[in-house]
Amino acid sequence: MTVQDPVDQHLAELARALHGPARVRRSMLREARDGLHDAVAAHRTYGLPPREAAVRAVREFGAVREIAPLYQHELVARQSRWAALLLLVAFPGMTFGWDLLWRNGVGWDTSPPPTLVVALARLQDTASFLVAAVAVVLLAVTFLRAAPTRQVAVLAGLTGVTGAVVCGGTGVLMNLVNGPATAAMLVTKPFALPAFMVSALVCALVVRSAVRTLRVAATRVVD
Amino acid sequence: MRPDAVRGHLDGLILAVLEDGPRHGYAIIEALQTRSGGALDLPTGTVYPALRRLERAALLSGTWSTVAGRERRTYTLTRSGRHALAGQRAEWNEFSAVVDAVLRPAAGRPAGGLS
Repeated sequence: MTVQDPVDQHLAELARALHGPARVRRSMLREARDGLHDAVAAHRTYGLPPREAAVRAVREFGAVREIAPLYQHELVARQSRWAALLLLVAFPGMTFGWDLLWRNGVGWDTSPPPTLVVALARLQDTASFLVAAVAVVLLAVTFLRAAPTRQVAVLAGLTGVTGAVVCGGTGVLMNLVNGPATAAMLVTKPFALPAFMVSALVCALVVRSAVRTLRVAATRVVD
Repeated sequence: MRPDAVRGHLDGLILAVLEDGPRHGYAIIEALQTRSGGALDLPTGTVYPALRRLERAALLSGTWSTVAGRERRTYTLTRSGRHALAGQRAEWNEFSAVVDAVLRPAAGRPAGGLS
């Protein structure tokens, strides 16, 4: 049976305890590995044999149950920041994009549209504005050292899911209510179908990011 | 010194050791131990998440770079970090002066209290 290096063993345990954005997590673990190897090298210069130097470096680093929550806190904060940033770009971006298309003739030829469609469009614009406003606040909070990261992550996740459901749902409803005009638009305006597909893709990305963020927020680090 | 006593001041201590120039994680730990004469005895694993926290708050900037032939994550104090350090120093001076005045034995205390 091979005896595992204490540093590798400790890092593997730390890695198992951490959940969050892959790139940041990888960078954190790599930095921890560098630090532990530096500590081992320092102890060896004082004459400790390799294994004792590694055991000592691991002991000084701290137990995973004490250290992992500190790392996890930062991973949750980073995930929340990415989620908030995506909301801030996606929702105003979709509103602006559709507005631009509409102004350039990619829209329904029927005018005026049914009253229900006008009401749904207003609801969609308002929801989009509210999501962006919440995202700005959440993004700003992630810059605070003492940010309540778990709460920020939950809010970012819920805002993303709600925003995608409301904006996506109203979009689908508007086009169903105005079915014949939508069908005509899809046939006569070449940019209409790609625009629908991009909107659906953005909604899917928002939901994926929101679900990830909620999952990271729900992670309980080992006791 | 107990780790619990240090933890609340760790951010300020890290900012202070980076005032002279960029350092990587272990060099920061060594600087903390050297400057404290070995009295700072907190788990070294608490320093790395603290660096990420300070980076998230834009008080430090962290980048991977090659130092002595090895890839290292190096941290530099930002302008906001320098302001935060100045603020923490002022707060600490005020706090320690107050605590010192209260803790000082009665014989060494000036008549008439603090002011």
